[in-house]
Amino acid sequence: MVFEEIYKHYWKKVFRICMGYVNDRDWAQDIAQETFITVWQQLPNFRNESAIGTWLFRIAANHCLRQLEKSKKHPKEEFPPQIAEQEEPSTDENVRLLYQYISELEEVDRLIISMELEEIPQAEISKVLGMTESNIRVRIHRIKEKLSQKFNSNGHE
Amino acid sequence: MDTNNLKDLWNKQDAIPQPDLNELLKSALKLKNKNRNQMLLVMAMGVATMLFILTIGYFIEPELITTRIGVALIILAIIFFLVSSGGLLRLLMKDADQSLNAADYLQLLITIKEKQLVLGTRIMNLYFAALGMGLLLYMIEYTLKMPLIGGLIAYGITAAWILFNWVYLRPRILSKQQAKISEVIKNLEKVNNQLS
Repeated sequence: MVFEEIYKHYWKKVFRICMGYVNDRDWAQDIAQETFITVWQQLPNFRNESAIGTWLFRIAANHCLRQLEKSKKHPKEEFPPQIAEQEEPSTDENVRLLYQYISELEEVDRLIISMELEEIPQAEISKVLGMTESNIRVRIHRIKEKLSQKFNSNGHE
Repeated sequence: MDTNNLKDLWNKQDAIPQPDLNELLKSALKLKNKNRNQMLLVMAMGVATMLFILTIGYFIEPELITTRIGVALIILAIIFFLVSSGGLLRLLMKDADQSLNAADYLQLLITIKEKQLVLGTRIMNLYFAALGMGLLLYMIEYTLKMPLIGGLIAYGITAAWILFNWVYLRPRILSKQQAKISEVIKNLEKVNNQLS
C-alpha cells in the first residue's frame, strides 16, 4: 500500500483517536501529523507481519502515550501555518461532552474506547495495546458504563 | 444515554481537513533535517574540541606534562557539561520502536529513560571529577614556582572549592536535572500499570 492511500484512508480515524486522547483539536492534529510522519518514515520497514491498520494504530497509540513526556499544556509544534491554522467548527453539545468525558478517563482507557468507537475490532485493539482480548472486552464494557453514568448524572437520558 | 448512541456522537466529530500531502512531507523532511543537523553539530563540536586541545598543547609549551593533562581534562569537563545539560544525551540514544504494541513500547521507553537517568548522573559526576582533577593538575607547574606558603594557600582554596562543588553543588544540579525525567518515568509506569 502506498503512503498516499494510507494517508487518505486513515487520517480521519487517526485524528479522532488522538482527539479522544487529548480532547484538543490542535493538539490532536499535531499528534495525527506526527503519526503519519512516522508512518512515512517507517513504511519501507513495514514487513506485513501485522495488518497495516494494526501497525498504524500502534504508532498512533504510542504517539499519544508519548505525550506524557511533554508538559501538560499543548506544546505547539513547528508546522507550516497553512497546516496549523484551521477554523473551529461548531459541534453538538453532546459530542463535546462525549469527548470531554473520554479525556477524563485513564490514558489507556481513552485509547481503548476511542478505538472501539472507531469500530476497530477488539482483536486488533488487543494487538495494538498488547493486552488480552478478554481484558479489552471487560474494559470496554466498564468504560461504556462509566460514560453513560456521566451523561446521566449530567441530566441526559 | 444509551451506549449505542455513543458511536453516533463519536462520529459527529469532524476531523480537521487533511493537511495537504506535500505540506506534510515537507514537515517530515524538515524534522528529519533538524535531527540530522543537530547530530552534525554534536560531531562538529567534538572535532572542534579535539583540535582545540591539540592547539593548546602545541602552543602553551608548559614544562610539565601535568599542565597539558590538566588543560585537556578541563576542556573535557566542559564537553561533559554541554552533553549532560544540552539534551544531547537524548539525541545520542536510540529511540524506542514505535511500531511495537503499547505495552512493549512503554516498557522499552521506561528502560531508555532509566538508562538516560543513570547516564546523565554518570556524565555529571565525570564533569565534576574532570574539572577538579584538571584544575589540580594544571596548578602544579605554577604552584611549584611559588613560595611554599603561597602554594599551600592556593591549593587549599582550590581544594575547598572543589569540595564545595562536589558536596553541595553536584547533588543540587543532579536532583534538578533528574526531577523532570523521574517525573516522566513515574507517569510512564503509571500508564504501564493500566495495561495489565
